[in-house]
Amino acid sequence: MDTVAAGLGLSDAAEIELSLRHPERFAVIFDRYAGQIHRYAARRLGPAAADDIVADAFLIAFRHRSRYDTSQASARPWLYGIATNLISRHRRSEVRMYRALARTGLDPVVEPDADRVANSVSAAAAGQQLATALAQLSTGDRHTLLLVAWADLSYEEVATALDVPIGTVKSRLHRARTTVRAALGNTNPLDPEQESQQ
Amino acid sequence: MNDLDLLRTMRSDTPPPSQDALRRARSRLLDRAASRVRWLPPRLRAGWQTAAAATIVIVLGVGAIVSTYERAGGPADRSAAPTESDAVRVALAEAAAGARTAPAVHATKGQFWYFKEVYRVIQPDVGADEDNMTAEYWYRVGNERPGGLGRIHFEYEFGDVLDIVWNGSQTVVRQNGQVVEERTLRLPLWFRDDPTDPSSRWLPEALAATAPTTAADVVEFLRNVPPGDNPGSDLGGIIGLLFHPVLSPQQRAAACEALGQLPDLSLVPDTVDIAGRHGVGIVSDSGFSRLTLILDSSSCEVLGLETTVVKPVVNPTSVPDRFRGNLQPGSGNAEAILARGVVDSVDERP
Repeated sequence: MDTVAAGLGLSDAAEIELSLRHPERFAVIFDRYAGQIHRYAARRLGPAAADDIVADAFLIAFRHRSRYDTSQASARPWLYGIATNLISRHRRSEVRMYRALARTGLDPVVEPDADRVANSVSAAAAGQQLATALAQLSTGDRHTLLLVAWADLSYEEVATALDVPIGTVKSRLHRARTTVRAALGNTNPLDPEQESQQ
Repeated sequence: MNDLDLLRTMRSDTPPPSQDALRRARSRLLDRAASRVRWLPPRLRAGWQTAAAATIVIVLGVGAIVSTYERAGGPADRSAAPTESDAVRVALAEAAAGARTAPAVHATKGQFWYFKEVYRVIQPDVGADEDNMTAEYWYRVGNERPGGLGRIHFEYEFGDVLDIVWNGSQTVVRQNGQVVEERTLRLPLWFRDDPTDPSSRWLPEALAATAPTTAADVVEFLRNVPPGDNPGSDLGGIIGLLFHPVLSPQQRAAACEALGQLPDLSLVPDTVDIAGRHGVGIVSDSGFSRLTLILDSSSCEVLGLETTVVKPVVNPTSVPDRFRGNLQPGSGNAEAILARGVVDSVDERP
């Protein structure tokens, strides 16, 4: 689905190449990925900032499309890389948000939902611990972890998105997950058995 | 459920995107696709990475940058090692003496300050087609804000020409000679933030016109500039004065001498700017980055300004996030002022 164009069946790379002669074709790339990049940015910074990130990311991608490596059939890692660079500019806001979640247990990104709240005592505890860990991570480690966890990118795709070697992705991910596990007390707050053993 | 699965539970609560927001973003993209105009000077991206980093380094007092390039775009000959600060004072005192005898420049409201510069990115990462350009600026004389533009004219190395004329509230945009936009357009704020726009270093014209005529008073004058216009550092302020066209010969001479009195500067007596002109290089090296202000040794006119990163950022708290990771050793940018003067209209060049 990622690389199959609606209608024409072209890969992202082919669409981007086509857009050099027919700029309006770049809207196909927008239609394919804007929603998921918005969700990723919204999870990290909240919906309002995500609106700007998506708009800016696609304008930047459009301007740089002549330099797109067309051997990469999927533009997804490239776009996530651009979005991640933009998200980096809001690092302090992001960390503040995690700290707020860690303190209060209320996720600033999520709209209040009675059913969810009723069922989320453990989830809230986990969320607070996760937020504590996310706030502690370095920017690079956080990007890596969240591109894997929230954007579902593979290691190779993360390496492409962040323009780092794959070994760096693995070491960052290892470091980030160690921090997260430590924040969780090396237990799973959502696992009733583990909770009852404590 | 492992730690990644737990993280994914956080993701699942994220609200879906607003369709209105996506429609707006898509519409902006299509507008851009339709216009095919480079609204954003490419220098904003490359320029910020180095020139602005230099500015920030100056502002933060971490130091300032100055790099020298002994030939156009090439690294400086390190055998021409900077000498002591006495040498800086002597060289600038000589240049100041020349500045005092230069003819005064007169301009009145309705005229334009004209600047032409060539700009070059070193170790480019903004795309080969956008690395080198020639830029011309027509600034309105007597504007309250520094650098009110009447016209810009950019010629990119790959042949494209972008020309924007602001006439009152009307804006006419030409690309390669063809009018591609003609409408009411507010002057985008990002033009004012472009660190390679000569006016980005200016004080407001009325304020600059009151700059002292004795070197001993220059630093105090700059430190007393109100917040908002305050250059934030002595070095940045003096560089801004030297770039400013409104200064009288005596004021320019005072700024030139005052520069020589700042600490931690060094001199490269024969520095060549990217246009191939020889001048004196005044170097400020923060250890992280280096800045070279190249001045005409006989008039203290600014020939060029170059910045280069000499070390990766080691203290992440000293540089804003947006620049971190973008500053690789050896990267930088350079500009040379090719022409300046006063003209009567935006169709005129000196």
